[in-house]
Amino acid sequence: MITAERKPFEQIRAVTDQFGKVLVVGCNTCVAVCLTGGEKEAEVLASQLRIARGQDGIAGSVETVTVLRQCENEYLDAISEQVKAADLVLSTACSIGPQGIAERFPGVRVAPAMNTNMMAVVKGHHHWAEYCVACGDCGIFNTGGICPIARCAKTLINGPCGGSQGGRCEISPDVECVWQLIHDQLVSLGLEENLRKISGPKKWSSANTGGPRSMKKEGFKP
Amino acid sequence: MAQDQTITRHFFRPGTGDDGLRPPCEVACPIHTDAQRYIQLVAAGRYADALEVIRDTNALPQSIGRICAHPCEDACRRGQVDEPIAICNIKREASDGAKAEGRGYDPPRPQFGDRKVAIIGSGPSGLAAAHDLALMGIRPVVYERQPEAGGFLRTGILNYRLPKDILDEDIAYITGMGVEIRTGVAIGEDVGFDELAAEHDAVLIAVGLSESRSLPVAGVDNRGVLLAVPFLEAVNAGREVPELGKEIIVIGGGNVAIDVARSARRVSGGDVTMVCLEADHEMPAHDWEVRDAVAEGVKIVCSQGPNAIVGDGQVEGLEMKRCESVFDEQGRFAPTFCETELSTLPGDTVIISIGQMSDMSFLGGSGPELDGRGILVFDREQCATTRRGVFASGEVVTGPGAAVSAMASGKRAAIAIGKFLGVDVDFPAEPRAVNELPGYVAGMINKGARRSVPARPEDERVRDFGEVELGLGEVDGRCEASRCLLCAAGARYSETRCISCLTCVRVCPYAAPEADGNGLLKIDPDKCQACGICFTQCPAKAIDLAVLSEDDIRAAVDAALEGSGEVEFGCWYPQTRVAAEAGAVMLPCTARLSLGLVLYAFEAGAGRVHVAVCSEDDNGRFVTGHRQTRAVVEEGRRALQEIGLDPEALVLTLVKEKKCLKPQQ
Amino acid sequence: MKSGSILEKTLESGAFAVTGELGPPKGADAGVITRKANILKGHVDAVNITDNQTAISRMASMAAAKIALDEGLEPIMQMTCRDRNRLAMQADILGAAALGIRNLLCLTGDHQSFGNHPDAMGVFDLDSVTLIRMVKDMRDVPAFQCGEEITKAPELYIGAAANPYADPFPFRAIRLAKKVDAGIDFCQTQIIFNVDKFDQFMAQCRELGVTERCRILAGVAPLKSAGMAKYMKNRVAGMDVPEEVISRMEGAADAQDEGIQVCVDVIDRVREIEGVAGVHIMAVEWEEAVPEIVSRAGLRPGSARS
Repeated sequence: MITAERKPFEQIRAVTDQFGKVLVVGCNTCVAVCLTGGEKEAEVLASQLRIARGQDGIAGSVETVTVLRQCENEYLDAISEQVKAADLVLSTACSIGPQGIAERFPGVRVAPAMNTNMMAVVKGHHHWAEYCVACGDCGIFNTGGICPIARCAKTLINGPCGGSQGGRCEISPDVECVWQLIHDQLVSLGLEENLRKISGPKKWSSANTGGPRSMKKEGFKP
Repeated sequence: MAQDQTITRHFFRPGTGDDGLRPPCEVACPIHTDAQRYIQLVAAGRYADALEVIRDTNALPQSIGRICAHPCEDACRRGQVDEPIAICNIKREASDGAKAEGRGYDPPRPQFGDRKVAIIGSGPSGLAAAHDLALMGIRPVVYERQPEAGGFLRTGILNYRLPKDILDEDIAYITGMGVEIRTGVAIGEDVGFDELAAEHDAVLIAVGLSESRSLPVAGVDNRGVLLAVPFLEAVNAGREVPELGKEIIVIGGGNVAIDVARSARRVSGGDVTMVCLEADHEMPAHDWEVRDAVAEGVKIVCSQGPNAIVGDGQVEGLEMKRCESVFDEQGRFAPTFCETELSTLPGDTVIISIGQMSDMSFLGGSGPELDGRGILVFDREQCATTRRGVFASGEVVTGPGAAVSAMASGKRAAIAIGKFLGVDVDFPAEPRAVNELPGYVAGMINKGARRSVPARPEDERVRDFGEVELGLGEVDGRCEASRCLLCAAGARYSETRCISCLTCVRVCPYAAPEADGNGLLKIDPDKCQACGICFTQCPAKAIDLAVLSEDDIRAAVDAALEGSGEVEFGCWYPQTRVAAEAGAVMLPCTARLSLGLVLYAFEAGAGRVHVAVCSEDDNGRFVTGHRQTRAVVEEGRRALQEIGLDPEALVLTLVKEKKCLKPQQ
Repeated sequence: MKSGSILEKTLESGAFAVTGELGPPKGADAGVITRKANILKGHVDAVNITDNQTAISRMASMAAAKIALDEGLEPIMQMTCRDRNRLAMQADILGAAALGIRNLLCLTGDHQSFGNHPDAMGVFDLDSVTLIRMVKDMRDVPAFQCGEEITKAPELYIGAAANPYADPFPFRAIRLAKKVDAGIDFCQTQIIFNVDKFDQFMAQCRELGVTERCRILAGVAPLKSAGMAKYMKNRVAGMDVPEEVISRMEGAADAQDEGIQVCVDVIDRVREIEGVAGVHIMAVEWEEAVPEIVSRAGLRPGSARS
């Protein structure tokens, strides 16, 4: 899933204060699952904005509507009237949401309330961790099903650097050393010889650095 | 202190995903009183509101609050944790408390049309039917052959359990509704049955079981042999019973026999011994009745059957034979005796209390059909006899049972009569209850001892007919009510709103939510404890709570702010207000407080919001609930800071003394 | 000879090599390099020129290496993967070789979050192993990483770093073996205080045949104070400072002198270990200690030069 975090409130204020009718649009898929931008969080943000704007005497209104996915036009069409009536649409989706709204409704002012941060696995309640950076060239079969591109601070593909200590990464004790995990996994799978093999150089052309990507599937044409 | 008005009349059962399950207490109750709601209202100290809930289904709230056999308590899931809630005593507490407030005793005055129904018998069944018919706009006229109304409640139950003035108040409420009770009128003697039927649009036979059964043994003709019903009638009426001696033997092991024994003990001041066929553990009387009788000095001889009454003109004793078994393999009553193992119990009085029967002679042969045993032929579904327009209810058709069961029968008959008379009513669907608590859930619930109702000392109470039980009183009543587990009142889940995020699965302390491989969720109502944590965490607003819903809480916030600039989100269990000056929004646990609700309070104009919380080392009403409360207050403070409000305007206050879960002193 | 560097000649002759370390300045002053070079000159066979060490932006290692070279001190140019992609790296490698630089130490590099530009993008197009392979192919095939032919191959003696104290320990010698497979000629280790553990590491290296194919220089450093020892023990990832070293430093009347003596003692012990081909003395911002260490340890650098 994609996770996103809400921007600092003052940044949101700085944008929204210029507008009278603000429509906070929640997204009830990825960002709802990561408890930051679904219906409930959109309502919380709207409530905060109303209180703050009320204190400062900013005229206008802050209302909320939530769609299942802002990245799909069909869902956006359902809120077309509310969007068009608003002076500003504030999206609590990942960055795809506000872009989708901007594209679908030309002329409408759109602002992101969120910073998109990662493609994550749910480690537990209130805990997500980045497991993929969409490099476009998945090689985790050779690393015990664990991705060093997403999960090593230096995207190392040939084993841990000298900063691996006690299973933790040198950049922070909160970060696991993925190569310790890969090492232990390969040992437990009896695949120690994988550790000896030299990998790479990594093919980055399939990643975002190779240019904006799009995907089209062959098949049924409506 | 601002009055907490959190619990509203409609606070149960919002629409979302309601599976229709009800608390076991309510389902077990023959008249399906919404016990959970009135218990919660008593916990909140709102007695008149509680009494109003009781009156929804119960025409005799004060009387039943004293003498009910309370099957609700047998079903109470608290019993799996420690002991059931003292529901019956709480019911009494509601009426006592409301009376002290001077509220809840003004009957409604329904407008009657021109149809009227004759009800023969003013016992619990007849009165319940009359009450319900009156509310349908049908005029009931109750005929009672005794000089005063109440049926067996008056003639069979003694003042020490049900004071006459209490019964009078219940009856006065019903007559206050416009129900006419003609006492001292014996159908079949003063008015013929046909005449009665001709004068009314329908007739309800609710005459109960007014005759005592006797015993076919030698010596029953001796002076000193009495029957239970006339004996109790005499004692209840305050008449002398000249045959009563000082060594009294009561034959029988049921609740009536217990009443006979306890009355005989009071009237005679002598020795009273009960003799019953059943072994100790088989006695049909409720164990608490047996316990009270023994406490008052009544002796009980089990597994003995009467062989003969000894005496030549005057009772000298009871010859008994040992009873080997009472029931046959199918569980039917079929006692077997050892005819050679005889013994004699000396005594000067024998009171036979082995059961009652009906006396249908008043029908005079023109009424509905009787079967070969003289019992009414009866359609249980429609409460109908074989004569059109003549219905029956209560023990006359159900056989002996609890007063509340007789009321249930009367209530059904009222509906049947209403239907018969074209009123738009129907028999309600039988409610379904949640199942037992899974063992691990029962183990997670904090224990709290049941408050026992205080009683007058045994040596004092056997000397008079004053009421034995004194009522719980405010503190114990509210504390006892606080033990309620809110069965079936927890999470309500909307499949259409759910986004299958599994948040509820992760946060529920009781593992109530379960998701299948497709992310389809089910919240097991047997496990849910209504703590509200899932409600606060669900990002898609797919979960609401039956008690209280988010809308209920918002409405309560609005109401709280009408008289105050501050709001307290408090624990609705007793004596735990943390901000007396604030408008109260009381919650079963502040764990159900979401960030959105906190902000709503500020948005609605609260200058300060107080939140009550249990201490860290004390789980309070719900395991881990206090952690969620603390987390939401932290979140709330950050949210306030972000928007330039003083985070200290959100005040977290520890509830220091939680009497609700403490053992009784 | 692969590169003809003094370091190569020293090590391949079997002499015990001594290398030092020289950090370029946070400014454009070439004088800093010449000053430090003159302190070290004659006491080491070659000197590492660090590359934005600890992710702090400094004068380019290639430029500083050229200045040292002109000063008569043989540079070992360090190159990290953090700041350049393979295009820039190959350009720099060719440029360095053209300037006469003959030793290249291939490193992954410290993470940018440690440095003074934590918001910088970490490149890490290659890691140290793939960098080594690329450099070797540039020298020996000779070809660019893409396979295109190089007209004049860069003659370089290729090195890498090894840390016997990082985790997982069983993998450390394997990792060095991978670097050997990729093409290194020599390596320098993390600073050694725990000689026993280093001894184990060396045993693993011998078992993997690493010592036959690669010259291993044991990293050493003088401690300036007990505080520095504790800091290294507790705060620097991949460092192992035994308690015994800390108590020696704490008990010393002259901490700096004791620090030098600890370093000398380590050198004395590691040179007895089979497969240790030299020492790499890391006296960063304390270059003056190097002559003293070399002298006390009885090392005789410069054998290849003479």
